[in-house]
Amino acid sequence: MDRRGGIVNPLSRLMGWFRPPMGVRHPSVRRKLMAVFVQTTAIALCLAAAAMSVVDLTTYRNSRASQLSTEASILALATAPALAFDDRSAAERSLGALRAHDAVLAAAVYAPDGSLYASFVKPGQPTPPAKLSSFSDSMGLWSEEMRLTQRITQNGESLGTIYLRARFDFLPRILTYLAIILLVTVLGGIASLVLSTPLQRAISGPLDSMTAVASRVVDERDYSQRAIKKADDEIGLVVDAFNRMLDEVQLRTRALEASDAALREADRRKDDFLATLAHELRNPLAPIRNAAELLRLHSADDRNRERAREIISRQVKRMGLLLDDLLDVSRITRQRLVLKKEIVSLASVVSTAIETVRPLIDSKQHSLQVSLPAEPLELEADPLRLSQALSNLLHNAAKYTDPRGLIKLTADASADELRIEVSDNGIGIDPQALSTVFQMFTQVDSAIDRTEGGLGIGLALVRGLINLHGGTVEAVSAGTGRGSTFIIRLPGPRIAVRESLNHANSPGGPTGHGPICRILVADDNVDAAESLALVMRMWNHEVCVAQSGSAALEIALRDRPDICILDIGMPGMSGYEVARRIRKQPWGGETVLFALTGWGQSDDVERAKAAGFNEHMTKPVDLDRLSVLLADYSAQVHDSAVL
Amino acid sequence: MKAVFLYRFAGYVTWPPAAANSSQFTIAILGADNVAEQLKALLPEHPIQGRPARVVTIQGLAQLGDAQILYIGAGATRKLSVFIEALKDRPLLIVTDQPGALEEGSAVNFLIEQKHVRFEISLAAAKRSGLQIGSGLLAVAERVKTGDLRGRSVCRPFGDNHEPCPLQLAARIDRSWTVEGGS
Repeated sequence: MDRRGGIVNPLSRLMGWFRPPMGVRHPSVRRKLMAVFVQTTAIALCLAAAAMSVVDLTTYRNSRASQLSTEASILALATAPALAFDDRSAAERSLGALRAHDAVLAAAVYAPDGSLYASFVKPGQPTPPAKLSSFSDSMGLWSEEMRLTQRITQNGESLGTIYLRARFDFLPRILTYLAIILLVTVLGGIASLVLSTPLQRAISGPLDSMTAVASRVVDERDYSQRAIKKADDEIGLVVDAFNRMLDEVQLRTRALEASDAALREADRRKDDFLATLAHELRNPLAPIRNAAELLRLHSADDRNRERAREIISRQVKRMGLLLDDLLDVSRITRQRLVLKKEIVSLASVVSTAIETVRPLIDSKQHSLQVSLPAEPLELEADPLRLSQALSNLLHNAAKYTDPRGLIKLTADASADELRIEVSDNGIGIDPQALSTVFQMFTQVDSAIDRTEGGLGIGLALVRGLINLHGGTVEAVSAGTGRGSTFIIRLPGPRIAVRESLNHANSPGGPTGHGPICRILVADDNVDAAESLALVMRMWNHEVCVAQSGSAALEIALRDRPDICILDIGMPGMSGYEVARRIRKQPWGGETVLFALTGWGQSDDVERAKAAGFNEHMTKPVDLDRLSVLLADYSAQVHDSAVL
Repeated sequence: MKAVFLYRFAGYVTWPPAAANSSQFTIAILGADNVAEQLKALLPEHPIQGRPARVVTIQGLAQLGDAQILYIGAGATRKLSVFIEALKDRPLLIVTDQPGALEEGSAVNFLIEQKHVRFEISLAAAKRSGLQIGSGLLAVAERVKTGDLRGRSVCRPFGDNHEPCPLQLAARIDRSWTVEGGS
């Protein structure tokens, strides 16, 4: 029946009919409160009524007893002369006066020897006993009759005994009291039920509303719901705390959802990127393989062989650029890219960038308009990285503009800002996509269908590079199909003091430049080492090759080469170790050491410097840079040799 | 029985204060030796009005002393009225045992009614002796004579007639009085 506890509470069952209004789904508190009210009231009333009944019954009994005793005394006085002078009829007359008395059932006068002298009996009542000794006084609470005897004395002489038997009416009276108690309890219970409803509503009302809000929150996951505070008591505090908790949950849920969405987006872009990357890396392989096949054919003439070589060279270059971009972005993301800032002229940076993109622009027959300030400008920047950023923008413009489009590069300088705009009349950018174009792995959807491909990291790289320079980059577009403009802002341009720029190190054919050096190349990749040696021998240097760290050290100790180009990651003995050993030699301070690593991270550079390397190069080796470095250091070597 | 009644009368009669001062309560018996003997047997157990009681058997008025009750036995004297006349001013309850004695001046007179000892009372005689008779005694008297000493006005409690009586007795029981002989 009652599953909540062992005590089956009749009152709480009575409350069963008092159903809470529909829609309130948590009636237990309400019912408990009501049960408490009603039970308390009923118990209090019951106890009070019972106590009053006991007091009243005792008083009633005492008063009846004393009344009966008084009556017996009066009767004794009245019957004394009759007994004294043996007047039986007078005694019977005296007793007969009790006829008018409601309560008295029987009365008798006994002679001193205990024999019945005179008696009076109401109709239907048993006659008093013939001998006095056969009964005693009875004034008990629970009997229906009271019996009383009293001696009759006159002048100290015992004349006889009065006997009275009277109705007590105790049980009917008790029943009446019980009925009254029951009635009062029921009425009190009902009254407390009625009166307690507004009281308990003050408690259960806010709880109900809070419970309803909690249910809605749980069911609908709508954390914007709030419970209404109705009072400043403890329940009000609970409501406040509940609402504050909802605030907190709402806040955290929003943050979680946002970060979740961001993570999903990043994950999706990464997946897209991986697919794109695989595609982009695979694309050049087919032409390279075809060209390599062509080169093997004996029937191929020189013209075809030359074309095959060009194809290979172009595709490898394209792959290299792709991977360079990827590495650069990765460095920027991990904050590993260090700018080599110097004072550079804007014109040289722009021309380097244009040179890089020129083949694409020409092949798509775009026209390129370049507009630079009249006076030459200088700025402090990493020329390589700045031109990389510009060329990326130009490349983008060329790529996403239909053939024979117009691409403009405009530079403007104010007192504290250099502004470079690259605009085109190409496919444009949807306004909604403007904010995301600079994110990594993002490609404008309409652009994905186009044949140009790409990894979607170009603009991310641009932004990273420009930010490293302390500048900003911004995309503007009137909409899809209406062209786009990218604006770079860089701080601190200045007008060049020097009029002319002497190209001291012009990249190009280094053949014949600089003195001949004795060079050691060490790399466990035989092809890499041999091809590099081949190139440098073409530049008229003396080159020998080692294929491990220990072999390299052996050759170095024996031949004391002018320049050592050491791969770092060699089995057995690393390039760092070889370098340190060479530097320990008495002559080791003069040897020029170049480090060669697959990943040109800044800490690699630092470690190389620490191990005693003069320069650090990343694979694949930039031959132009190598040629410049060889020229510089061979001059240095020979100067010191002269000294 | 008469002896018992004699000392019980004392409980319903009030003597004047002067007579109540004596240290002993004396009942004098004249011409009824058997009653005197019975009384003598009873009295040691029953002091009267808080005083020890004694019984004196007398032969003449000279021996009466300061007795409170005088019982004159039946046939003790032929000249009862003269005898009582001589005692009229004394605070003395005179109890007699002969028919018509109330008219001779006796206050209480024994009768035999249906083989039971009863008595009749003369309020006038008691009053002349300075005594008051208690209502309880009057209630059980066979007759109560009111009016003057030799008058005819007699009340009969619990008689057949229901004429009102000038005397109202304070008791719980309603009384009806019969007035005999008219006023």
